[in-house]
Amino acid sequence: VNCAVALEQLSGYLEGSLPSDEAQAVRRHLDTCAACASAATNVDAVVNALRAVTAEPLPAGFERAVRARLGREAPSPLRRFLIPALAGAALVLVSFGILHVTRPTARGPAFRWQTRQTGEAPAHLPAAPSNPAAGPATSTPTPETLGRAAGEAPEGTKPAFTPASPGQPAAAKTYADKAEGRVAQVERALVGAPKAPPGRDVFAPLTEPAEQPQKTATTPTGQPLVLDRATHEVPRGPAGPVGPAAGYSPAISKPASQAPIPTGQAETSAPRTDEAAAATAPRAANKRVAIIPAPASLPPGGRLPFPRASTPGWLAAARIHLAPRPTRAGHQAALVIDVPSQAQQQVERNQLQSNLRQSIAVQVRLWVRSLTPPAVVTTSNASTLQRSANQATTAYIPINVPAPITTGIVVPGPPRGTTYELTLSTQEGNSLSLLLFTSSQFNAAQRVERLRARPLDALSHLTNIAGVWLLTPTDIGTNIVDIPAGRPDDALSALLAGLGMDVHRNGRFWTAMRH
Amino acid sequence: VDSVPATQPETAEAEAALVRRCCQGERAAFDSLVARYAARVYNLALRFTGNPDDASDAAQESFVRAFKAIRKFRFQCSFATWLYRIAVNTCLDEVKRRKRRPALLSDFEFGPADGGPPVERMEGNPDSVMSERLRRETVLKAVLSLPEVHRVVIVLYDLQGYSYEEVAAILNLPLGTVKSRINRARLALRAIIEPHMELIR
Repeated sequence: VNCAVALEQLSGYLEGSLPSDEAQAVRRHLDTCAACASAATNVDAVVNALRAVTAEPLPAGFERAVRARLGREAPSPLRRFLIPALAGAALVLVSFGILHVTRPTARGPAFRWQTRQTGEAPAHLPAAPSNPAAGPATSTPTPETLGRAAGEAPEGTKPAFTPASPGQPAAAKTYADKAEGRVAQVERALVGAPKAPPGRDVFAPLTEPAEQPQKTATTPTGQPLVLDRATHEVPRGPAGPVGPAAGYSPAISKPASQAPIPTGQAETSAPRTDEAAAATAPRAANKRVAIIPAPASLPPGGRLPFPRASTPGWLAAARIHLAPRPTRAGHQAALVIDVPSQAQQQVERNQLQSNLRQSIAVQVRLWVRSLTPPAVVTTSNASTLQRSANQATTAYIPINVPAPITTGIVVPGPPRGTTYELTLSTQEGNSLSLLLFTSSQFNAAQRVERLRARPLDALSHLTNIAGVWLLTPTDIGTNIVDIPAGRPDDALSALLAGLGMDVHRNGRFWTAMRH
Repeated sequence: VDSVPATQPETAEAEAALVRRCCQGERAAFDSLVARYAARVYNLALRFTGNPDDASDAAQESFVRAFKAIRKFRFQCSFATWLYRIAVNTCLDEVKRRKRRPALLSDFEFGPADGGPPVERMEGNPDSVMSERLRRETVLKAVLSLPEVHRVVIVLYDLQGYSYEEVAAILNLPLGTVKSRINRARLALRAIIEPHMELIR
């Protein structure tokens, strides 16, 4: 046994599944070969480590999510049975109609194909006129017509009634369409219009609008925007201005009852149809929420007016993924919002428009991810942060972790009374970070400098998509809240509550909204 | 190739009955199957993708695919084998999809993909807790860095605990191929972990 053979049989040897003679041969080799013996020891350790990994519990709401997806994928039993039944009924009716009109009578002609198919006219039919123009349909079979297929009219003649004519399938199709509509009516009558259950997660996937006109995103130049689903990219068009005004316009207009918001979007926003307004406004009124349009443009570094508590009906919602991870003393819980690429924003904005016809939920497409301290410990100081913020290639402003995780004492949450701050900054590629960190690690000057350094274009893009106002540095500075002891979840909850939002947990997700 | 024994023999018949009811369009029966296999499918996806969110999506997608295709199930293997095969294929699709997708902010390295147990479950000496976590994170991260062809057998055999025969049934591969792949995958894993071997001992 050489090294190659020994390594090839290593698993079998370690598991004891090799025949005894082969196992002895491998053992003799391991006794004499230090490299293979080391490999065997290490493989054994690796396997033990693998076997020690325990199963993770199912995420909360997993089965419910599967059921929801299955519900969307599968047709309802009502529809499953009604459609075939009605289709069958339609077929019967159409057949009945055909039979009725083709029943040979003394007043009417029979099918042409009957005579052609059989090659002889039924005896009870009247004699076919010799001149086709003198009478419809029937004709005496001739050698030319005998070979024709059913439904095939001889040249120069047009049968008065031919079941294979294009009109018949069209009529049946129309009827099927009506039947389909009837099914929908029956379903509505039986089960009622779909209603969102109370307390529903506003980000629960919405039913696809069945009859929504297909919206097409366009580039600023008016070209249709085609999203490559594989890459989420669109063909690059002419370079437009990097900023909120480029091709973006909020789909939602503010209800008339709301306080005016100084925006310049009236000229640039996409016209909102009356239908959409009618579909959205009453629901919004019922829920006492308003959807405040985002500004059409913001200068780099510009400030977004934050909706104060006096702004009635402001609503924001965020779907926040929070991994159940512990925080440790001196560590930071960081939250990151992913802002999709421009193409994705366009597509999602369209989805948002469609969805808003059915729901008052403002789907702010934010994904906030809770982060553990990075494995590689970095020392935090102002220069590090500043350099990271200004580097074009830096996709993420690193979180400083003063205490190495390998030596830090695990503390279940930050000490009570720790002050957290919420900071927004933009990053390369219109990404937006929402960082949550202890104030002791940043002084006010650094914070101001950092906020000034980053344009708010990503934020304005974000608000354009969402159609709502989000947080601004001004408000961040005035909304420092005390975070109680607990996990990042608790910190976030307290943080958002301090910003006047109600925070609800729904499975793995948080929903934060202000009514 | 043998099938994966989904359940005990006495319950296998009940499971077959459930599957037959699913084939007749009974959603409640499929819900029962989901409840029975959700944890295993999710953990398979979690170990394969390394990300709880992706794993949840992949596991859900696996059940949706199974639901759509259950009328094609011919009882030539156990339902578990068939479902795990779907799950493996779904995970492979998910990995391919992630490779094609441009990197988003969340894809950057923010630390281990698996955050470990929640705080409230952490008991005992913090040092030992931390050591155990490092061991776990090290080995799982190494698994994620394996090529898919090796990762899938390690996940099924060493992490999920299926037998050689069961892995062969799920992957529809000859038994000898599975054994040799597992051996090579372990050697590859050892090579990856070797610089950090002190963390897992």
